[in-house]
Amino acid sequence: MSFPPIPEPDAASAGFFAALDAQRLELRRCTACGTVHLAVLVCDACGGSGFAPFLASGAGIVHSFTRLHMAHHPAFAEALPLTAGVVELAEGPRLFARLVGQGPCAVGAPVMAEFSDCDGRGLVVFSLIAG
Amino acid sequence: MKSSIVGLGLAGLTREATPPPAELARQAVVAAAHDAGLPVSTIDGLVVCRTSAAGDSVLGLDLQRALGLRDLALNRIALCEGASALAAIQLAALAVSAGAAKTVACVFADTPVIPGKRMSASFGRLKTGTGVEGLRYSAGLFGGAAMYALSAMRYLAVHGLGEEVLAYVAITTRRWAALNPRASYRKPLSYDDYFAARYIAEPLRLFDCAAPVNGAIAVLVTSPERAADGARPPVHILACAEGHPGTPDRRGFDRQLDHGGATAARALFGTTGLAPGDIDLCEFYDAFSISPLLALEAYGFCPAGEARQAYADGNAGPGGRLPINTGGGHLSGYYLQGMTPVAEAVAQLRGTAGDRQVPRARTALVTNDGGRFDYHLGMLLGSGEHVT
Repeated sequence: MSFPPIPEPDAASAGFFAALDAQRLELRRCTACGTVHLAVLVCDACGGSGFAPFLASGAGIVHSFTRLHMAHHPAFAEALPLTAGVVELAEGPRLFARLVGQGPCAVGAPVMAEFSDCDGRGLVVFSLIAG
Repeated sequence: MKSSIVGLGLAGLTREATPPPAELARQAVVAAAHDAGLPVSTIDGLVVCRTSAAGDSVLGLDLQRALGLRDLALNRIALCEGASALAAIQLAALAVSAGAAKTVACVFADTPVIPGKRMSASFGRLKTGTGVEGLRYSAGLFGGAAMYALSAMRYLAVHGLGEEVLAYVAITTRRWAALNPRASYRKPLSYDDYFAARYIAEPLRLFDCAAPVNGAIAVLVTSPERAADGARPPVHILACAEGHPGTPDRRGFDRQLDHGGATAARALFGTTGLAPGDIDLCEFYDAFSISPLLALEAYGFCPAGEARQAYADGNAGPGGRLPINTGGGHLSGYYLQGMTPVAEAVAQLRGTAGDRQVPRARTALVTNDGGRFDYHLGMLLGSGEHVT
């Protein structure tokens, strides 16, 4: 079984990936101005560096997407065409993710997070909500 | 900036096997010196740029030794992803105008084409990445086409446009390539041909993606005074500016569409007093067909979402009012990253562009994009009629 490549955490994303490995989607709110981020060390809105982590609802919309017609990694070889894109979470931050499920894919389409375990690392994909 | 391009050298520009990048770079610098009518030993500065995946062993500072150059006043590697070529030329122009060097060669070389293999072997390499940016690989978004597809899909959705907008760009650019003997693809491209081609990453099809080649391009930068005595008509560097938006990726911002050209345009037009209406031709970085559309809008040639008009009305094509990517660009010409638009602008402003020559070409806008639209440089170039 081939798993998709999961990034190594950096200083900004250590908390994000630790939570993801536990199958949770964690965001961080700037304690100074309230701006919600995915994974940063400094708030670009106010310059603050204090953050309070919290769990995302998992709901979001498709910000943009593509369907890939060639697999560059064995983990996706049987999934062609592969739908992937940028999801805007209900809380505001966006992230790259694979899009799955039977619902129609379009910019603005609603999605919901789904988690899986890849040999000890966590992976989040987003399922397109039908109807 | 008080500096001028006096030499242009090309090496390779082929989809066949070639010598490695360092040797192509050496050949291009020698060709640029020959073009300028100067001995190679005149060069006292070297700025090397290369594809972001390459290391020093591919092309580095030791190009100096390969060229037999002694006692350089400047030797530097300029790295700004796809914008490295203009970054190199800007550094050369600044050094020359400050008196730190007299004649600087800037060179880019790359050999991505492996005969018999698909381009994804070079451009879609396996990566894992670090941090949340690396999630693109978890999603399967390898290679440039996947990322530019996200911008293209968002652009079409936000403005309510169809894929034919991209077709116009590919078809128009091919019309220019038909007039350029150095272009990779010169056969006319019909609307039906465009849509019959396979998707690479929706909405991008095969002809929305660059034509890679193995090759090198070098330019020689010197002062306008020395340029006046050169073998070729000088091309003056009127202004250069950077723009790196660093747009946050969250609600309220649009990282897919934000383009560094907007910042660069304010600086370029502000320092020169020129306006979009003064530009005779544009040489935009067009590794993917979405790029010239966003560049036209970022530089203020038209409002957001309306760049298609430049193509649909024929204005961007041969004989049009605003010729764009007159050598066939990256799409149908040759993909040597940021040097492709520079080489074509120099040919046009010298008046040596042959069948594709734009009449009375005096002022050209050249752009380079790196990352996606994250790292951007723009440059205004002028023919000898400009007073510097």
